[in-house]
Amino acid sequence: MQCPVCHATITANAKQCQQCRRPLMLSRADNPVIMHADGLTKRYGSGHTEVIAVNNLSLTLHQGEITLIMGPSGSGKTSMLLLLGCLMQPTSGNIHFLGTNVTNLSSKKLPEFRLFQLGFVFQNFNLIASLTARENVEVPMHLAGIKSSVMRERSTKLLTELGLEKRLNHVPSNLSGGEKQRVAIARALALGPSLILADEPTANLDSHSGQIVMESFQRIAKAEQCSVVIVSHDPRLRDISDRILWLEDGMLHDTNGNSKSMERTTLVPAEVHA
Amino acid sequence: MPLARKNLFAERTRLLVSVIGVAFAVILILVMIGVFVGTTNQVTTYIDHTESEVWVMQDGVSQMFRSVSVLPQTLQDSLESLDGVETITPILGVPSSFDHNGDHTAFYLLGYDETQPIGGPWAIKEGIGTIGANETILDRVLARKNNVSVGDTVELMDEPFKVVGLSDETAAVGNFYAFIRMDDARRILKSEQRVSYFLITPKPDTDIPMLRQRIIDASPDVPLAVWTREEFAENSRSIVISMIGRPLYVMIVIGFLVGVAIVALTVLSVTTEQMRDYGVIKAIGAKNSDLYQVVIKQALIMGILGYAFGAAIAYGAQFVIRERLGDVNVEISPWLLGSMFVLTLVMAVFASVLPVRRIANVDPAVVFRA
Repeated sequence: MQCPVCHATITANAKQCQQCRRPLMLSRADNPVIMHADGLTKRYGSGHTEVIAVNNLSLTLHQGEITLIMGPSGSGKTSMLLLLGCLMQPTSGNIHFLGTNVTNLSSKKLPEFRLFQLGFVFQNFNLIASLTARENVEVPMHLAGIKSSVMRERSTKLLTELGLEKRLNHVPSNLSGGEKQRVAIARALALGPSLILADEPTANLDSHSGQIVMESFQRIAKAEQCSVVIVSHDPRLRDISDRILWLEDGMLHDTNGNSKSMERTTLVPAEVHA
Repeated sequence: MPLARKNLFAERTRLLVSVIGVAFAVILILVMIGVFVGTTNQVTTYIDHTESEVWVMQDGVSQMFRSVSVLPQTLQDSLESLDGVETITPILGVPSSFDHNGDHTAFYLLGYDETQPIGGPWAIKEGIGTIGANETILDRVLARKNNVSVGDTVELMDEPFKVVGLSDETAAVGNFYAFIRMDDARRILKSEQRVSYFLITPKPDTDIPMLRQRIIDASPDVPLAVWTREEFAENSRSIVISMIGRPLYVMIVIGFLVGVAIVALTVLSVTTEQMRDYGVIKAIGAKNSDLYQVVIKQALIMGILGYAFGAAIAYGAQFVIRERLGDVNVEISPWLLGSMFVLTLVMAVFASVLPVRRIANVDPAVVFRA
């Protein structure tokens, strides 16, 4: 087996890569199902003021698949992303990641899980302003304790693959919107995650930059064999998506308006509300 | 991760102001402690330089500055013949006021036997180191304060004395030495057959406690106190410590708190500005301890820069103060500099507490809010 970050050969039964120390406790080698969320519910408040942001949501994500989730404002997209990203505990329900229930991971283990298995791409890029493009990409690798030489090689490779070989040492203020988003994508890929969660990744981009970002997601899903979930109002993203789901009132709906467990459903409502 | 350094240096003006603030705290603490150490060492400068191991004085006297010792000169013969006594030198001294051109300065008039090697000034800055009748060697700082030079005539106890030399290292805080011959001292102090102290140099390998007892027993009619040089110096020092110690401690604590406050405010300001970044890094997968390291590193960088700046200034200033003021001695030793470095690190860590607490409460979910 080869480490997805530093490409070192990993011995059988090893729990982490000997070179970059990326843990291998959750292997996706034989797991086409990356994540299965079952009956996720999130309630805020109680009594008269209770709000159900996510209502009995079930979803299965597969390797190499791009899932587009669309829906009106207030439909629960942000809460859903927070739940899938393990940034918030559900009121009820479970999330299984590569066969392991991660819902009840301790507060000490959750950061490590997010670090090595998840990648985030945000609407507002959320790059660190004082760090260069390369240094931003290296942030997750620093947190993982990866050696400097490996970090440097990996960050250069990722940024070059995204067409940013001439922007390695530029700070975000000197990058265009599209370039910033590609740096954010490279950062999300730094430790070879199994799942990338992207929140409105093309919202603040012009059409050309948006197109480049979409193509990047397409390439990543296939080349890195990771699952990509994109939450967006952008109808152009339908062209690159393997599945399109509609989220409304905290529930995933099919074309008949029924909420159901989304195994492999392509859902295209008659009108998509921006 | 270069985040600590880069965030700190992103606003150089703020960093510079903070470093200057820390440097100020470091200078304050170093100079205060330096004054304390220098003063307590300087106040016993005469005792430390007499090279006599044993001091004999009137019973009840334990230090040199707030009491007067009176002994009969005739006691010298009895003490000289004691087993273990190599040499014995009398000195006669009183605290007094140096009046010159309308100014008054506290000083210590000290008469000594100019034929003996101990008891007189040990370092001469100007003029000569030997005195004759009605001649005096003044401490150089006392002379400068009163615009007196070698060759001038001054009045000591209403008698004129010619200044033939200026001594060095004979000023203590608020006190200066003036040396005259023992005969002159007896005359102007009207103490013909009296001395203040006997300075005894023991023979080699003499048991000092036993010598002490022999000295006391040798004077049944005149009760004596016998101290080693170290004991007498320590007693004299403790008087000064009791006078200036508490205010100095307070100033040192204030300096420490000032340093902590400056570092804390700056790091807190930087942290608050970067809260969203910390939320992003947490969302990516940082543990709280990863971010604590960033904050603590920022505080340490500021502390170390401020220390370097402040320590350099304080260390150089001690020589200037010593030269210009003379009676205020600042001693900043390498040991003190090392201790201050450690204290600065402690200061930085303390200053990190508030920013660390703030980071602990950062909700990584903030990354999904606009």
